[in-house]
Amino acid sequence: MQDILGRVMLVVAGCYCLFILPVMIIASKQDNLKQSYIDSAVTEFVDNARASGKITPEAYERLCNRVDAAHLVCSIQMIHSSKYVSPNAELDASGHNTYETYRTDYNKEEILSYMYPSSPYEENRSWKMKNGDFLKVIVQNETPTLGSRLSLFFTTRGDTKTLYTSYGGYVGNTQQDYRPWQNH
Amino acid sequence: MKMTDYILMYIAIGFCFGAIIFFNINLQGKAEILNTEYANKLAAACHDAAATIQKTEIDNYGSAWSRQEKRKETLDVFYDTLAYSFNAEYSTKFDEIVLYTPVVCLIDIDGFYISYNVVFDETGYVDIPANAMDRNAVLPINTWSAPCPGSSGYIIRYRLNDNVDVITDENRVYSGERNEVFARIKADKERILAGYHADDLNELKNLLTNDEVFVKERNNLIIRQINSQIEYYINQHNTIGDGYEQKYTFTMPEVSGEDWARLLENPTVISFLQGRSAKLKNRLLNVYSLAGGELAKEYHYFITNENGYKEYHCLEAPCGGRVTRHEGTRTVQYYEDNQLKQKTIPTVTYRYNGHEISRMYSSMEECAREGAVPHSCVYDWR
Repeated sequence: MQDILGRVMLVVAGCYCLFILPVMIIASKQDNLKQSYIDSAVTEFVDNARASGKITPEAYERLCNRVDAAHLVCSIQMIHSSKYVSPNAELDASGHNTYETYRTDYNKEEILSYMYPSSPYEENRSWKMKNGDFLKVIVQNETPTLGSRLSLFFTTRGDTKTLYTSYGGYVGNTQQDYRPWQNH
Repeated sequence: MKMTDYILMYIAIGFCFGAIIFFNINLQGKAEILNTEYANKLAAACHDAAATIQKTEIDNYGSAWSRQEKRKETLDVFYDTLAYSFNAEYSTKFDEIVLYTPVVCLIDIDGFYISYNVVFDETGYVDIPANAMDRNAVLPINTWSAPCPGSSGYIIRYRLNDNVDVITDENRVYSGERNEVFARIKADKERILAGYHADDLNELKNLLTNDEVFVKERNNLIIRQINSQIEYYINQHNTIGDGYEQKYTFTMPEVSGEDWARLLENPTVISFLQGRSAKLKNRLLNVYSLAGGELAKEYHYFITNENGYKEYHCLEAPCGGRVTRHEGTRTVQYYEDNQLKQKTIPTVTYRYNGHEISRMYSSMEECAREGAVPHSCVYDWR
């Protein structure tokens, strides 16, 4: 009896070592590859947008195509944080108003609804940003990868969000030269 | 054989194949990471080089790199940043980096400069100087000039903006904004030429005054000339490979249409990094990067005051386009020979929605200090 039980356990362990373990290791390596691929796509998109001061429909579609090429269902979040300065009621020693810096955030839905207007008579347009704004893009997978599914054999709590990229930065040159201009 | 023997045998065989597969996947991953890393380093070098573009230089000299000092500064910054990124600034590896960047192209408003890393001696053979700095040869400016299509005798020199130089068949040169240039040419033709017919200038008129035709002709010429020059020097770089055991071929990577559109608007730095450091299945590292001076500009703000409510707007924002320019006159009084006299001088005023703009500010903070709140156009550029 014990001999039979031992043999069954051995066969199960053998099948696992022969088939499931190698596939799991290869799948996790593939996940690393996909992670670096998506990293480079997001980095290129954000760097181009920051340097040019706008998000063009072509750049966004290129990002989507590259994320699609990883054969994963991913969610893309974009946040554009636009800077502005507003005065306070208090005055400083020189009699001028003090001020605070605020930011208005625009999410992906607002950006896309502007870039791709619903009216068929309007063309697609770029989303413009200015110096000092902040742009961040987050890409995350929504469906579990093969590697994460197979790792459920060992872990009781499966985490499906295994691919995560977050990258952002300031738009353009954050310094501004002072040059007064007046009517003449 | 027992079952355990079979299992052990299969595990041993599987391990052998698995080791090869894992190694291959590791190699793929490393190559991908290395490619990304090199592309980022090249992009950082391009961005730093583009940061040397100064608006004051463009305002004073009409272009960003008309002076040799500025070209040298930009290229020094480019190679310095690249060397720092590769941690090779004080080592002999710096020479290798220079060899892997076949071409750096500075695209200016009035032409483009090619900086390439192959030097030829007087007999036409490749001569690689020991000093890496000597390898960097910067060509004189390449301008974008072409005959006017369909019209004989007119040569047009284009720029990134709407300014052109037109050389007529009588070797007269007209420079300026294209519509004004055409008007001057037409006026001169009418004044000088007897028997002049308006149809003689039809092709020139179509090119210079039709926005669509002008932009299409100019952009095609610029892209074609830059492409051919860069491709030529990239192919020349193949001769370096002859001196080494491993041979590899440089090819012109495909620059996307969107990137061409960016560099057609502003002074831009474009560079290429090619080589065998990240070789995978005969695919070599071949990346390009470009960075432009799109954001090398100041922003101007103005304050409107309606019934005591002060708001500041941004001239470069979409709502700033509603600022209108008005030319008028103003009478001023002055003393001359102890007598009060007055004279009329021309004035230029700027108005927004009928309100005169008295002063421009260069930052949001200055406007906020005056007690003005931001209009939505300051942060919403839709």
